[in-house]
Amino acid sequence: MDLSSNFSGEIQIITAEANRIDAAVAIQFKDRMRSVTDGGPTRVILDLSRVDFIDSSGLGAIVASMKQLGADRKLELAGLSPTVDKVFRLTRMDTVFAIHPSIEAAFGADHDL
Amino acid sequence: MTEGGEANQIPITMIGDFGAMHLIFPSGEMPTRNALREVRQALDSLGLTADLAGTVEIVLAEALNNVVEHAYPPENPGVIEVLCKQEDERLYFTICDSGEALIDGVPEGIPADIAQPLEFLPEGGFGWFLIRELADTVSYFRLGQRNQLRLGFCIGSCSGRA
Repeated sequence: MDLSSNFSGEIQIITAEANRIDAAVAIQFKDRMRSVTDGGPTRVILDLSRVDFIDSSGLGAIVASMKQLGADRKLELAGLSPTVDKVFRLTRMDTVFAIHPSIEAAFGADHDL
Repeated sequence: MTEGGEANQIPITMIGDFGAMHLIFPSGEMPTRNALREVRQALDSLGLTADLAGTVEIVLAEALNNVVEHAYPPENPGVIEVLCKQEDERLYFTICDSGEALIDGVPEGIPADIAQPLEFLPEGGFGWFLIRELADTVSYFRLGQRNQLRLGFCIGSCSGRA
């Protein structure tokens, strides 16, 4: 479960370099998110455009990743595939995260969504 | 497995050896992932839309995760079987294991409450909700020392869902 990280100004962009975030990698994902976001900027965008499947363990790991950031930092999501989007919508987690169609759209978005 | 012998094979279009698919694998996260990949390939070869195939995959993933996490705790691993069957416009998956029973049957699947401050947001408790929400039929049997969870999906005109 590789994550790559880039910075653009005051924004950190993390790309999930895997096509699944499932029970097999959920804990690893959460741990990698913790280390990669350690001490970074307040706005963090997770690019999920390469992920075509997520289960509830993966969803839980993304929620945990947001909690790890603490109250002053924000985890936003971008590039959800239809199946990933479905899991977020059904669980209503789409109301918890700011979700952008793409990284490009996230950059155009108002900071305070 | 216990299905009747009627010759209700679907002619034309549907095809393949989907109905003959019988997966047997050890309880574990990676074997489960591999099994899901096999199922997904079979679904794609049936010509299911990506949306419907994704729906089926979510449900099977949640059901199999439950077996791996609860029926077979780490100290007591076992074997999981998945049987696939097509009846007209319906697909059925039967997941069998010899692990712990679902004492109260299939859980209601009440969605986890997300109206919470950040630090209390739920990180789990979505599995049965997703299964109930996305499968068209869910039934559970305890047969001797075996669990049997049967999941049904409508893949044709019987489906009213988007």
